[in-house]
Amino acid sequence: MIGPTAMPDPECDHSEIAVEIDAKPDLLGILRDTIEFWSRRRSLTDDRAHELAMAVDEAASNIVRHAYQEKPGGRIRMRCRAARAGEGIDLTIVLEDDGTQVPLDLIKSRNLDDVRPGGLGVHLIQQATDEVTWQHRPEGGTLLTMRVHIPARTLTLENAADGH
Amino acid sequence: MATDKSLTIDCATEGDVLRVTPRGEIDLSTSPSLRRSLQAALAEGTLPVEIVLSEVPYMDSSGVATLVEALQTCRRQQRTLTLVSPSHRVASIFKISKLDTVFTIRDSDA
Repeated sequence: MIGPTAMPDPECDHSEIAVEIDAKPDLLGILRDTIEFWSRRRSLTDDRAHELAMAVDEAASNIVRHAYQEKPGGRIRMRCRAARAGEGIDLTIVLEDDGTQVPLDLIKSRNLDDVRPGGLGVHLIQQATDEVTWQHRPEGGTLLTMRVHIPARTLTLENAADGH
Repeated sequence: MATDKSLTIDCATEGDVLRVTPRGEIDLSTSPSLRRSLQAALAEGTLPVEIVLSEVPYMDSSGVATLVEALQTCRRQQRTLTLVSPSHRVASIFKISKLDTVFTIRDSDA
């Protein structure tokens, strides 16, 4: 029987994955492919999984361009975990770098009515996520946390039962 | 034809249209290649421009920025630029960016 009484441990900390790459433009596809695969397995719809992958890609692009200023040697660390939140599941994705800290008040979406090249990345990240925060790490670099909530009604039976 | 590790770009005059056809993912690593190809293709001439996107499975904001720049170049030259047959996914980034009304986007040659 599948139902609330048959639900095993709702905690799913064992479902965390971690990926670390050199901060190079031609490796960013690894992060977005990972996120799309992982989030679809956790019942995110195809469209939302694609938007989330795009958000991760934009965030990682900003790390390459602004935190590391396209210089070699930098690393990007990504961690993803799924945890039960109410009747649904929260997907949390953390991106971490060791690069230059961009002032947090400069990280914002621009006015989209002003048609010009560039400056869309933060807007795309905010559109794809329910919550996003940037924090400067005391030891250097920046921590970006993105959260997406999947309501219970969109969960598959398998994921509703085991939460991962 | 310009090539990148994962992006090829064909530019050809077909009838009275300059048609640019990128094939592959357009992201931070490949958009500079598209930018160079478009700058070269738009350097001279007055023909209307079509960028065929049917074989582009993914585009990020650097790709969108490259196309916005090409659109601005075309407007200065008083010629039209049309995006042809973007996939649902590629079309979505233009919609989210509120650029779907700035660009002329056509579903197919039909």
